[in-house]
Amino acid sequence: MNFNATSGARHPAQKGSRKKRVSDTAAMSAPAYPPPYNPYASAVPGNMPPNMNMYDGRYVLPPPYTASPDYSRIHPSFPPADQGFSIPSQFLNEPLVANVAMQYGQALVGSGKQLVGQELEKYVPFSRIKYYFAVDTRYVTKKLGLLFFPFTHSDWSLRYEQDGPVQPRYEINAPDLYIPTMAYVTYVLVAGLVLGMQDRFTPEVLSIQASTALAWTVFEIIVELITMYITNIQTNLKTLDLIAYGGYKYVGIIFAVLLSILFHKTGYFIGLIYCSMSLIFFLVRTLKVQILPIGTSPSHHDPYMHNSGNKRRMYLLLFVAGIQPFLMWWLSFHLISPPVPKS
Amino acid sequence: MIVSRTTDASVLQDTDLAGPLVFCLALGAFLLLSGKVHFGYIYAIGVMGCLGIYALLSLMAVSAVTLGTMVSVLGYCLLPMVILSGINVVLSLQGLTGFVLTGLAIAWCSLSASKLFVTALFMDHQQPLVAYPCALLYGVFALITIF
Repeated sequence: MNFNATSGARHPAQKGSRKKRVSDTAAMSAPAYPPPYNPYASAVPGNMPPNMNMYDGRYVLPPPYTASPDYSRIHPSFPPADQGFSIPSQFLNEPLVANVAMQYGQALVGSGKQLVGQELEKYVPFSRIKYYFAVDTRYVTKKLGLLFFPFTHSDWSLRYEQDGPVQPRYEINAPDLYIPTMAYVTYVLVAGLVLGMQDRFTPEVLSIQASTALAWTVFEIIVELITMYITNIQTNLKTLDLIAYGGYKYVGIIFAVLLSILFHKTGYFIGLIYCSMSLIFFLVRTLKVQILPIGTSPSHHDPYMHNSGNKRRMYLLLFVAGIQPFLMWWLSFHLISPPVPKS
Repeated sequence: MIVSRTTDASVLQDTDLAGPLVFCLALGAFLLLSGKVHFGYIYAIGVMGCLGIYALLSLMAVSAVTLGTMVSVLGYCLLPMVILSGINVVLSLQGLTGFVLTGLAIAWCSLSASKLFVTALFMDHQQPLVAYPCALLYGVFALITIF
């Protein structure tokens, strides 16, 4: 159908009539830049009449890009050189076929994505993780304040909904994964910064720090999980909770390292000791709610609550809270600047 | 890119990757002028940063996030970092003024990126939370530029 346009496209009178048939299949086939070849240029239908005015008598000049009104709509993948390609490309550009093809393609992609998502959900529980990222600015600022000064906070209990704890957005005591993740990345960057200020920076150092810290965190979580399994303590704590609580120490590490920039070793140790104390307090108060059984009334003996494990639970609590300062020190002591320049 | 202007969500409907690519190449070119051949690092950090922020935003936002949108927003907001690396060719950025300039550039980058994200993904009260990872990403670029 396009080949009929050879005679008609150059005449202004027939251009008007061609313009009425914009919905014609010929109208949809306009390539992005009508090339300097005559047959193809004349095959361009009337929905580009302003261009046609320019191309009369100037077929060999390449068209300016701004002149094409359909540029955004058409993929420039059709080679304009050979007229032999025009038949399949015209066919694909018919609106009906194009729509059907697009819908089919989108349906395929959608079902494929769904399948992949389902498979992935079995290994990495995205919906559970999304809960830990449902935070807002108010929660994050309050939580950071709590990490640095937990001594005045009085109510550490968690509120629960029907299927789980309330989202961190609405409950200040709920653990989240946003702060630990950001603190971890910030820790790696601050380490890079501090090492750069000591002229010890190469980009490999960033990856070394990142992998070391990650390895130690994983190790800590595994030790805690094994401890909980061996001592047979039943709690509501999930692995992601443990990851969250283990990640809060990076906030303290960052604070201590930043202090060490200004005040060197003394600043570092003061910051480390203070952050350790506040983190221990924070963790003990938070985990006490979740690990130790809450004695509601002495006569109410819940058969599923292992009351005999009180001592073990206390030890677990102290263990989780107590290894934090050591790990904080281990992950950062090599970052402080030595007071005497070493070789 | 001007921070004070309000944006609407339709700005992000058309994603294009040409601008970000040009900015990355310009950043690499300026770094080359300062004597550092870091194209590989720029690429690696760019890819990892984009993937990381994509993961974070898809976990935090209620609406769907596409990787193309994200890469284009992050790439376009790389412009102040390109300017900073251009300045680095002429002046050294390791002094106090250098730090201040770097801080300003990072702040500008991350504020504009987070504003675009928050507008496009309809996130409420989360702009500083989105700005912080963007600031970290641009901070890494700044680290490469300075040191």
